[in-house]
Amino acid sequence: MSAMPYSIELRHISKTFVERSWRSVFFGRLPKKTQALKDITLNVEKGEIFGILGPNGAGKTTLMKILATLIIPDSGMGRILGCDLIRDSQRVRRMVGLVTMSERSFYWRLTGRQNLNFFAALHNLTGREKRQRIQSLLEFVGLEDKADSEVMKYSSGQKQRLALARALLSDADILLMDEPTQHLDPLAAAAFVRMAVDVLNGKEGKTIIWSTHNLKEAEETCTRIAILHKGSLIASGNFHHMRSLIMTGGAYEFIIDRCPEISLKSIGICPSRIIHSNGNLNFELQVTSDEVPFLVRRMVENGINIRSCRAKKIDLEDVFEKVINRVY
Amino acid sequence: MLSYKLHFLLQLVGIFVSTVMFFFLSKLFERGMTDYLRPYGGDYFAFVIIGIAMTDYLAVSLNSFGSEIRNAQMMGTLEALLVTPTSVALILFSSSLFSFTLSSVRIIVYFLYGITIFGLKLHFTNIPLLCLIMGLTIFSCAGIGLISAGFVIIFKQGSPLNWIVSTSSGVLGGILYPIAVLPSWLQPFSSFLPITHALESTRKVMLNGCTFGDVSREVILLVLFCSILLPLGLIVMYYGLRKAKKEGSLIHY
Repeated sequence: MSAMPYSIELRHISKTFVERSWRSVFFGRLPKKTQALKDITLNVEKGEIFGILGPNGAGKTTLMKILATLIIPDSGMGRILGCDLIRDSQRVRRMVGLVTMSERSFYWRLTGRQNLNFFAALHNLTGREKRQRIQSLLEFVGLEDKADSEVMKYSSGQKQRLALARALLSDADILLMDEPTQHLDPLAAAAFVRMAVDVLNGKEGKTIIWSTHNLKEAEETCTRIAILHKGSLIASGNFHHMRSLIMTGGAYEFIIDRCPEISLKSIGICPSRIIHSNGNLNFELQVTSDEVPFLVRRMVENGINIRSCRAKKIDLEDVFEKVINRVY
Repeated sequence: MLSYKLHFLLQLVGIFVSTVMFFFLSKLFERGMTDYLRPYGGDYFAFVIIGIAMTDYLAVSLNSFGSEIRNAQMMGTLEALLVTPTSVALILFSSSLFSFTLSSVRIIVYFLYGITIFGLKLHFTNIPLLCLIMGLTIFSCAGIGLISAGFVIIFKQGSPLNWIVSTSSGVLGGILYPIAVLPSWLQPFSSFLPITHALESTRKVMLNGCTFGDVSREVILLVLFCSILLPLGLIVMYYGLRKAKKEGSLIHY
């Protein structure tokens, strides 16, 4: 049986940043160390949108920069389409396009078209092929009207779309999107997400690594996700797998007339989350569907007035919160 | 765009003013330095104009690579450049082409002012040889410039090496005065500077009409400087880049 053709393979990648000062160099003081990534192992399949999730400082950007060959890991091995991230870094750079959240990565006094022209030359595009590619990308990202304006006059959303156009110059198989919607308003962000999902991934079959701390966006975009926290990979898989990590059965949400919490506990009901609102008590129970009628009867028999009971949809936010809280 | 044109215009005026200054200064030295200037045709103005003009190449070669890196760090474009498949060395050389072109224009303007306004007499009979000397000068000094670029990548500051080379070139390189005026114990040190041999050969060709055979010693020394400094510069620059990638400090500034 042949091995699964992975776009990206990472094995035991670790990275610690050492902040040296004159005192540490000359007076032997211990330099400040920050472990950005700890023993990261993951695979990304061809043609999938793989989400890297995590709070600020989780190590998402470090991981993206390692994939873009901008940071060299301390240990471990990484391959992109079979090419080693360190030994074949030049070949890797031909296969990846990076969309960063930085607005400062363009020449502001040049126009959008001139910027693309410059970066296209660095991707070895020349002549008519270069002109046509730039024009089609400007149309694709909806910047044809602003193409000949200086980048300093662009809005954040326009700069982000220009960054996408730049990442697509080389027609890379793999796109690394580091918090691509961070500076966009909700409408622009939604349009950007649709463009990535429907066209780049859907039609063109590009593999996309989508780093974000926006869980809703990840849920709409990604086929699989990995959750990073303080540099460690604490969970990865598709949403079904992620849900299974935090619960064995189902979750049900009850709304009852307010009553002392103690009265729930006294009848053997231990909610996983309780919210008081408008004279009601909302709480969640992790139980199987078979147990629900029995619980309802017990509450009614004990004088608790149930206003509603429904199966709760577990979203990524629940998974994220519970996985992180469980590990730390 | 207006600011760029104004800057260029001011440069032309600046070149004119310094040409005038050195012309009158040459009047002062006309008789006193005859013995020292005899190997160069005896004209201090011609001697110093070549010195000043060639220093322009020296300055650009030493500073342009480090400046390009520093600008990219400050503007935030360095990572965007490094994520492309084009090699950093090629990016740096290409980015510096404009500076070298501008430097060549300034040098031509120096000579044009000198010839048309002040009656400077120069030999342009061996242009290919002059181009060879210029090329070797640029590449040997570029090696030092690349070492500086490596320093800038790691330390985010201008390299002290540039200061050492440009200062010692000013004192020992024979830019404003012939090396023969230096004390005899100091003269051998000037041999370790590429600019010394670049100026010596350029003056021999432009002031005395010498041929390749007459300047072959200087040309061979410049080739030697190139073959040592250029690979060394590339090694140091790539070492700096690798170190910055390991430390994650590429975009720090």
